[in-house]
Amino acid sequence: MRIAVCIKQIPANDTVEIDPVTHRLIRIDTEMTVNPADLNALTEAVHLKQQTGAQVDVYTMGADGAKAALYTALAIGADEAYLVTDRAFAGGDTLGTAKVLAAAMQSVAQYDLVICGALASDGATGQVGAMLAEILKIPSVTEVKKIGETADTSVTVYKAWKGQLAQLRMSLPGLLTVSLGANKPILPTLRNQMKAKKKTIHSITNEELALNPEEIGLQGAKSIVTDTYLREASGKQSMMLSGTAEEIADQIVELMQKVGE
Amino acid sequence: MSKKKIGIIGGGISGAALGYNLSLYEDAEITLFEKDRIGCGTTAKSAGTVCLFDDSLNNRYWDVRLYGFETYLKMEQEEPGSAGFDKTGTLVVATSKEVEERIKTGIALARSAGYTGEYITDKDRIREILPGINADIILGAGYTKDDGYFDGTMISNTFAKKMQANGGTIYTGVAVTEIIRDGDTATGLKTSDGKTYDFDVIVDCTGPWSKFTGEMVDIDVPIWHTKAEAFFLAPPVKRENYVFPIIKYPAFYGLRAGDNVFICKSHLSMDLDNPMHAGQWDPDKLPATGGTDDYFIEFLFDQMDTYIPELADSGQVSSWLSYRAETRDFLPIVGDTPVQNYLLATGYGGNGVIEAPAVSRDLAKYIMRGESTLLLEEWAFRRLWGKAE
Repeated sequence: MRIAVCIKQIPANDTVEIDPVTHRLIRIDTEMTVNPADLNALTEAVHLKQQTGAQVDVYTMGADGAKAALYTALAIGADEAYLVTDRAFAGGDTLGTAKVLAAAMQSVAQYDLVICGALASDGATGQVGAMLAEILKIPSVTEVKKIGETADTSVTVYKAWKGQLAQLRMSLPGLLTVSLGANKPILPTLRNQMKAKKKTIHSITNEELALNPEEIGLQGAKSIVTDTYLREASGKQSMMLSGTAEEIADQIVELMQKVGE
Repeated sequence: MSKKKIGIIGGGISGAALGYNLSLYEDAEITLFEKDRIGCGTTAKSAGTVCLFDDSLNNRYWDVRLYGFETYLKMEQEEPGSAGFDKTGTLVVATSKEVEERIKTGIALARSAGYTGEYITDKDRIREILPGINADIILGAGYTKDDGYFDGTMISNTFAKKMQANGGTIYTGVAVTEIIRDGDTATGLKTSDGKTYDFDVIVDCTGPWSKFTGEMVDIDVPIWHTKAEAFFLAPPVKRENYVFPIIKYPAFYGLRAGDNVFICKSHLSMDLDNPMHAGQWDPDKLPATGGTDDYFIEFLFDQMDTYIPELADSGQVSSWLSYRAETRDFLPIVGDTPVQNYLLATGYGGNGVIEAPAVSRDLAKYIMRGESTLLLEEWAFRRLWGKAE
């Protein structure tokens, strides 16, 4: 079995700046991290690798700085890492991103299973996974909580549905998007981070993919961001309680009663 | 009774401790300005270790260490949890004869003050205290079960609360934008909310920011920003009822953080001439998490793989970067500056939590009564004048 996992870098903190013209996040000089749901997706893939001996390839689209996310993925357990990078890909919307990722994967291998995070914590569209499945013409199950039994031609998955877990069987090749918190993400150990640094990150540019620049990147974007703004403060308040455990407990009860009034 | 009006800039451990100590004088009128929250910034990222014997502060100043430790113990006794004490004990590892000698001296000093301390050469015993250690390559280790780490933010808030109870005033979310001078004398300050205050004495307690605060009075505060890169590791083995002690090696230290281990490069191992370690940076641009350098992972792996191999197989949960305010001799700058009535209490480096109580006690006395102390003489700004470059 060969598995592809798509990951994305997102800002690590909420101090990002927004470009007033393009309304996009200014990512230069911003501390970045791997999107949390993508870590859940990668963890599912590595668990499958441990069970079946599958090869796990990880993909991300972005500039050179995105290599950091790929090194993290290698340290977590991915076998090969692909940086999909070209100026022609920049500024793309979710459809453009899905087109580029699909072409990149097809240029490398015929994957049995593609796994994505269900939602990125910055854009939060949840669209790329489903679009990718459509472009690759494979079935998909979104918001997966758990991957069950895996056979050569199908995989059993569980997803939240009306307050319960629904069990589904999807034929392979197929695509899954994994929910945030679906598992406890594997942490990159110090030793594995050092090993990962010695691995090669493969670059895929549009020279290899030969995608029409009018259908990808900023030029090909079908959706236009018209505004981006910070959410208004929720008005949450915090206070420090002090005293003995009993006194603090009394204060908490009093505060809760006030909220209830 | 006429009161001496004192303005304190900065509400970290330095400013809060000084504010409290000044508030013990009934003729002091104290106003503290903090541009963010009390005990945030560098203080919040401090490990808060106050060990009875380690290399963080030369044994010459052991009384400073003891005073800090006992101040926080009393704070805890007065109000449990107010100093965030976690009594884990400390294991100080001897990797050379020189370190061994210093540890043994520290143990003698600790025992002199009535605390326990022993130098252990039985490697199995050391492994019991720190499973996973490579005990074969060390000479021995000093161990006490009496100390631990505190919480700099909680301490700062406790000091601030006590200062307010004594009549002091605190403005948070208010930045100082200008120091008002009359010739060579500071006479007041302006704040970001457009207000102006007159003071008899102003004390800069802004730590890594004092490089910039000093510019407001044309003082080149001779501090370097060194990188305190902290990593939170999830050890591969969980042990029931085991307390991970503070561990001290010459190049790094560690302590427990919940179920994880906090590891940081020791401040005395920072090379102020190495741009990887030190420079002049803007603390306001520090991210809340992350921001660490790749070189540090390599350093950390190398140290763990050599000394505590089990931790080399720990998962990295998170990391953060903080800037310490460090002087050339790794000691703080306390007291008078070339500008009359403008004082400093900065440059604590990695030792703010350890040193702030004793320094603040002495500096408060100096401000209120004009009486200096041996500590203030040794840590005076004038030792560094003209040595900023």
